[in-house]
Amino acid sequence: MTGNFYEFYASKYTKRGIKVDCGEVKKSLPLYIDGTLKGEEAGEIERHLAGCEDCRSEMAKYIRIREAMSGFEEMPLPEGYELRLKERMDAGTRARSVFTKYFAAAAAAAALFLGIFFANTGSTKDKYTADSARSTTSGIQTADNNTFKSPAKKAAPQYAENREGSVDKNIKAKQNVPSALQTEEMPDIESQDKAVSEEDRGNEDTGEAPKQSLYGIKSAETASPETEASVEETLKKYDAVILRTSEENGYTVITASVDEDMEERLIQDLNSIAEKIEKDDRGNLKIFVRSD
Amino acid sequence: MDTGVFQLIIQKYAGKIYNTCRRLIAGYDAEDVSQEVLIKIYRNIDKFKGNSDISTWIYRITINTCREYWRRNKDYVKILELKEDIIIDGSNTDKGIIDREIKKYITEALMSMDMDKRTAVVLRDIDGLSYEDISKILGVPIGTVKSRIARGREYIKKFLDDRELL
Repeated sequence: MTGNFYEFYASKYTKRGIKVDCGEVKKSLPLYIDGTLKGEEAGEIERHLAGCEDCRSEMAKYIRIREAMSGFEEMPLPEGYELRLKERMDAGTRARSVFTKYFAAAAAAAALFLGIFFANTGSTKDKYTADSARSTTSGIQTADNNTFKSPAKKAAPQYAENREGSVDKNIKAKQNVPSALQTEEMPDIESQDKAVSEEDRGNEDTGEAPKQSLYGIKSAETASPETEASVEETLKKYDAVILRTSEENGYTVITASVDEDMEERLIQDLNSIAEKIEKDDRGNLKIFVRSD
Repeated sequence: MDTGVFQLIIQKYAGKIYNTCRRLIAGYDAEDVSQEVLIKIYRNIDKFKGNSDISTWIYRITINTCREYWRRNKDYVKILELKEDIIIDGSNTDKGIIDREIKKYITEALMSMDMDKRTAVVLRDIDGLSYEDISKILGVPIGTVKSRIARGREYIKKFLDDRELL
């Protein structure tokens, strides 16, 4: 009789007379099991548990789960993991070296073009300044295509403008790119954690990007290496990761992964360079460049 | 970046990155995604200024990369069998078999809960990180971390209860 009374008392009231029912205790158990709760809150739960078998049973389940999870073992890296990583990284480096090779020529051509533009426009200097600050990559395209940027290109996304300064500064320096072409350095980001976090996590709250299987086709008149370099540079601008480069039916196919919120703008940029763009079944972009 | 430094990072963290990816995206494509993480580290390590622990920084990149992968592929991944991801401990005792079943269903429960709760629970209950470290990695207050972990554990318990595994 005394025991029953105690259990009844313990399950309903604490020493202080505060009512702690099973529902409240069960809500607290997920945190109580690893000692997260402290002080009076933990004390109330302890007193309740002492007299409530049902809640003790619930707690045992949480402990059982926790033990199982702490027993999840580390798996070793798959065989050949580092080799495959190296291959992926080499593919990216190779692509970048192509960019390096053609960057100087493209930039010089762009400088020539922009110089002519300056000479012919005079009073439009302010407009040029704004445009030139937009993109060094656009210089490459201008040189390659010998034409003005498409309207879509002119409406370069804000992200592209901001990322400009991060285009390989060493390459710029080594190639002596005319200062008129050099865009403003991207201001130093105070916290790298924040920078990476924003780059990686910035799209958490955005809506779904439009899903398309074919993004566009343009006629092939651009020379392959320059075009490929432009593609690679554009991918770099959007922090896309090159997964592989292959040859398919006369095309160089660059498969790349890009954050979802950057995808639409990247495609918009690439549409003026690539032959066509597709999406594979894993959501990666396949960029086709004529390899003649 | 000094390739020697990167090699050290690979030696020290590649296994951890790979295993965290396995747990957050059910093992499928964990190699690809973890390599993507390492490439991001390679590209960005020069910007790391030591304002926080490097492991916190690496965890953050890992989680954000997994999150992005999951957002793009969750429907695809969900239909895959999860059994490959279950650790086989070689024990054929009753307890060993039950443990394997529980681990299998815990993995399934993790994959069926939202990514916020899953991440918090994995970091706490599998990787054994402190609430404070998880808060720094995820960039959310400790209270939010506790809430996500509590709800995640409740979810797993209910998932196993419904299958009479507890």
